[in-house]
Amino acid sequence: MDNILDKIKRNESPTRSKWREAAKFRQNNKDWLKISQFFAMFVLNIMEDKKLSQKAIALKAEVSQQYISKVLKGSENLSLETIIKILKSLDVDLKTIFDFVFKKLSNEELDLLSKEIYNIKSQRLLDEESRLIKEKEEIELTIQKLRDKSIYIKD
Amino acid sequence: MYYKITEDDRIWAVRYNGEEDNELYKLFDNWNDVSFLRSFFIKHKDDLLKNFKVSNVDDAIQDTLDDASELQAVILDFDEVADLDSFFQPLSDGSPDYYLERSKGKGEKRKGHASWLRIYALKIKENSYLITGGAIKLTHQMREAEHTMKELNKLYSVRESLYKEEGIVDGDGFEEYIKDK
Repeated sequence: MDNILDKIKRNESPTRSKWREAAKFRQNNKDWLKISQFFAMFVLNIMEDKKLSQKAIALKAEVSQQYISKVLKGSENLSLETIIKILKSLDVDLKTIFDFVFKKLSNEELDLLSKEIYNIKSQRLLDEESRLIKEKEEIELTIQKLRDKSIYIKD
Repeated sequence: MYYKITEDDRIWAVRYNGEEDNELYKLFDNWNDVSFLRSFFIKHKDDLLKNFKVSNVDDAIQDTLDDASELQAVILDFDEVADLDSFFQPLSDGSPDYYLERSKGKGEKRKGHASWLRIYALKIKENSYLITGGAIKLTHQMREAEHTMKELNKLYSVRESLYKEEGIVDGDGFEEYIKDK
């Protein structure tokens, strides 16, 4: 009696399965893929609301229809330029998409985002403080120079 | 044609004639495709609401993406000592076939419902499986929906093509064959 595994091996593909490679890619790039998937969901919702076709968006955004099809899969690593082009083609602003994404995020993700925003704001304040200190020092130096000059003129 | 999924010859996947790739690759490609998932859930929104109490298509898409990621991690983690028989569960409809889903207890941070993702397989021998397909199962029985019925037929036809020459004609005979091996 022939072994089933032998039978399978006799009909084994000469090429390797791409599954593992694709799975690892998804696993290693899950952060930006998640954003890409949110964006695809958002665009599909707007397309339905406004009865827009892929062809219409492609024309307005000046990209190919095949590219829009890939974007709607949620697997494209989109550039900011492309995101803006597509948003314009949908006639929606950045706030609308931020609102959509924030509603999709879990509490943990929102906490992380809040911390990130806090860090960015803190860094901005520190940068501003450094800038002001530097400006103050320059002004003080200028005043000192003017005083020195004034003394020299008096003399 | 068959594709080896794990190097230890324990998991294989079928590639059907006319298809671009093997079933495991196709499943995860679809389960990560927002556009595909949206069309699927709009088409099956009645089953989604009736059996899972999910009314929002975006929620269904998000749950699928999360569960697909968990299930993918389960398969990637399989090594040569993994007890595959404890991961693949027998189908409840009395057929001799098996399915794989996200491990219970994993990914439970999402509230609401069990995973609807299924990978269907034939058992080749102890701890060895051949994946014939998979589905987003939104009904209690596979026979209740056209797309899961198609998966049952795929299981049946692959089983028949592989085991026919062995003189095995029913589930009991198949179980005996596996035990012998």
